[in-house]
Amino acid sequence: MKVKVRKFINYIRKPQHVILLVLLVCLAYLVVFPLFYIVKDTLIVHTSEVNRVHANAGTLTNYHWAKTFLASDTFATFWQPLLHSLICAVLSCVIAILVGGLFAWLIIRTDMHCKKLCSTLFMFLYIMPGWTLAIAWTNFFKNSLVGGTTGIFEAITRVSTPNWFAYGLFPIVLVTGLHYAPYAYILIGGILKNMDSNLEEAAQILNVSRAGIFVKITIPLVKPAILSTILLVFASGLSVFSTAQFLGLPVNFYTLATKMYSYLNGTNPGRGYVYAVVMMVLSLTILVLNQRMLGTRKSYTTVSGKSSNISLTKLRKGRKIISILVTAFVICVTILPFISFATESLTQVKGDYSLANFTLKYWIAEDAGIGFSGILRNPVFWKALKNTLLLAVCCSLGAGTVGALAGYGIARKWGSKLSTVVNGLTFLPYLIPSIALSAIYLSMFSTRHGIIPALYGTYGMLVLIGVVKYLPMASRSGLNSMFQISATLEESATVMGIPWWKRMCKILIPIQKTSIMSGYLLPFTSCTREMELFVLLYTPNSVLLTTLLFMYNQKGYEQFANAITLLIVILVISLNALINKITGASIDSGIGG
Amino acid sequence: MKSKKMLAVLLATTITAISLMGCGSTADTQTENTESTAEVTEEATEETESAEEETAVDEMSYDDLVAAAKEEGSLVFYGANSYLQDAADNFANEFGIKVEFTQLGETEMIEKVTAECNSGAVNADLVCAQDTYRVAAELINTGYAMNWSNSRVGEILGDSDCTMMTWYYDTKSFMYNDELVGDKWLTNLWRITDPEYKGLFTMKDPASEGVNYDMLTMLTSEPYASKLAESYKEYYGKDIELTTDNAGWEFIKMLFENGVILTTSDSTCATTVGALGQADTWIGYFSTQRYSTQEEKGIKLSYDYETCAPFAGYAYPVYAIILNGCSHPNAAKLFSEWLLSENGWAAFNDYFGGFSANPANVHATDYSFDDIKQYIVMDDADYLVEHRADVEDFIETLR
Repeated sequence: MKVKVRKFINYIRKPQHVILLVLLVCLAYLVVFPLFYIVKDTLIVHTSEVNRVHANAGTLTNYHWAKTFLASDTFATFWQPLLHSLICAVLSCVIAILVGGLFAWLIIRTDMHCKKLCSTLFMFLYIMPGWTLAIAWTNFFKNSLVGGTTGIFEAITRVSTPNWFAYGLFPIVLVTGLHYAPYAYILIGGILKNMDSNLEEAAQILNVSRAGIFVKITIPLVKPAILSTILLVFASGLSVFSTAQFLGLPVNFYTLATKMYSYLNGTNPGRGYVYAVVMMVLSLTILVLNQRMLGTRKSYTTVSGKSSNISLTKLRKGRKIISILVTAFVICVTILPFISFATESLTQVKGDYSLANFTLKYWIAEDAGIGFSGILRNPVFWKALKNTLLLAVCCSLGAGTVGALAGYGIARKWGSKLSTVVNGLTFLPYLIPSIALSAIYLSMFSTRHGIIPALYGTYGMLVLIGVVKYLPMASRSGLNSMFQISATLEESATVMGIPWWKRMCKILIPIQKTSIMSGYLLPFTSCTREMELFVLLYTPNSVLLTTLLFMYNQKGYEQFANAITLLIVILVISLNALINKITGASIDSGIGG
Repeated sequence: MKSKKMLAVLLATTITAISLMGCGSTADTQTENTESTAEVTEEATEETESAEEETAVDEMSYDDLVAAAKEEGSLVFYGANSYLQDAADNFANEFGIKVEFTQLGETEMIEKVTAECNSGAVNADLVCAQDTYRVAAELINTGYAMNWSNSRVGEILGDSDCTMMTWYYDTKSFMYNDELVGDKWLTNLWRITDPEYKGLFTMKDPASEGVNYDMLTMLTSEPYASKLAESYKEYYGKDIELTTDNAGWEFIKMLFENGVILTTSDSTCATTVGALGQADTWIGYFSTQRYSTQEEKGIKLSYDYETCAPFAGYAYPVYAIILNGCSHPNAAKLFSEWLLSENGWAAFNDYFGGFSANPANVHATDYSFDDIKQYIVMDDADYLVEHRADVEDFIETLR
């Protein structure tokens, strides 16, 4: 007995053990428990379903599952949306990898012009909320199918865009793929940067053709990065909601996520949870496949030795043209949306771009119609701005700190069962669709459970869900940074009897300062532009910029909605630039490690 | 040992920081709440006693209610209509009671309020909700709504039970752009389902607008379904061939099959239909209020209640519902009663298409609610409770 106790004491004297155990308990409650909760929610009658299921609220029922899989209309209500979701997820991956990969190669391995500008602008795609591109797309390419005034493209060229181009699968896939292309850029770029080009040169000497080098050497080297991108983009593409809603609704194009939303929002939430479960199972399958293909590698991004020898491919004649094309493309997808938001927020009558129609009243007027003052005079806007910033700071502090500690614990105990389990748990929230997670938290925390108080209605609730949802990003960057430090550094300090906190503060953190800061930056950025996660949970006291935007969009106050979108994007980008300037941390180093 | 202590401290501050933050702010709001409720508690206990007496004898006199409301000092309410902000300001000015109004989408509002009531942290005193089906299922049947009555309200509305008090009727109408076709063009609703006009009808997605589900559900009820069948014969010159239960269901089916364009807001529908210089004439179903803002928005809209067979719009009640366990019940009661008064309606005097439940109040339209009742579909809570789920499921299969 005594031996056991001593063993245990010895065990928990090691900080990495304590971190992992505490994380295990917390994550079990905050991540695993909700999963069971979702499954439970697919099996009970909710209050809004009483008249539908004809049973008392809270009783067990197989209604939702039966309706989803056994009813006569399952093709239209389930299988077709499932198919759409899968196609969207797969094609988004393809586009993200092609665009991001090509871009990474051009920036890192060629002698293209304007690299700095392009690289910075390209990151905007990720920094901007995904749906902003969708809004911009409709601003530009709206055609007469949906009636009203047509988009800017048709106004200028007089050419009507075909339906498949303006709505549905094509733009959804394109927008989602472009939004996640920076992932691929960072992950693939990270490897290209560190890859020893001696390998390729050796092949060249051996007279291997260019294509051969690409297929036999470059691709295998960037394979882990591609697989990581697939995992990240597939899970996101599957649950993408706003983009699919904006671009799919006019042509009756539904995905699992938009179907789930309409069930959750309507009077059959139980069925919505069934869809959420299906989406999570799909994401988990991809995760497992991914792990299999990666084998037992240490991390998702593999740095294959530092290289000082990067030879730039000469683009020769194509240099100018390619530079111009790439720059033009990047400007098109980043700057033009800004212009369209600004224009739409300044026009009184939609679609009329004559000078007389421009007005500043939606920004600054005392009374801008419909009982609102201009956005800059609206107290609700300022409250939302304050709340958004506060929330972003709280979430990033929470997720960043927990993520860094998790990274430390996992890295130090790499290979042990506990470490593997915790590592998996920190990534799990990424696979739960935001809307489903927030719906679960809404029901989980609206009543008291043992010692856990009813958090609903508090600001802490928003912080909690933010921390959980962004933990995957933060822990990934924490893990990557800890892997890069050899354990010997810390061990020598341990031998000298230096306490743990001092080892952290004086050795580990200073070495990986920028990388750890990036772990804070990612949650910060994501939180500022997050809508789906918070829209169910915010209360009038904790109104956020994005939830305000959601309300304006729902009500059709388009000028206000465009103005807020513009402000959110500017806010996120300038905060990013500021943090980058002060700390040297940047989003790129966060994902790529 | 030292490192262990430090570690303990660090862990306590970081990993549990989440829950601490949560608890911290809970504590904050709770103390605020308890402070504000502490003052009221004493009275509340008295009130519950007197409330019991009241139901036996009579409710508070108007002056007593005003005094009790002023004692509470503030009112928190949610609503979907932006005009409510003005009403809130008017109420605050008249009684010196601080009013905090939050505009929320209908679905969001119901979700939030049920979550609040479920958690016991009831933030709102009152909600102005309109989706009859969800109000009945999720606020009334769950017991979240306060059961109260007021004879003065009874005199105006003919029913003194205020649990689900209707304070005004809002309307949505089938409108079109008369730029090409002139007025009195939409003579029959079945035109929407006519393949000749395929893809030229728009409405807000019912999945994000419960009252649109309510309207479509009412079409499947009698007498509306029969009226639709008659109009079908007028339009196509033959009896309707049913593949569903009745002409109402058939109308919904044909409407979706004819390529309805669903949007995320009524305003979008209005600009879609009303935009100038279009090659086709669109029909849309959206809030009647949009008719009055067409000049400001640079669009052109028209509607004819009398010409359009069998009906050209829908009227739905907007309820004022007080929540059990709220902090300012008397202010909420006063506000409900006041909404029916002339001053309470003042903010809505110009609200086109809205009709106070108190017939004495003015309306912005040049017809009264009684005038148009025969031309529009009326909301029926009992029917909705029974059938809306079926209509929702049916529509899901049509998408």
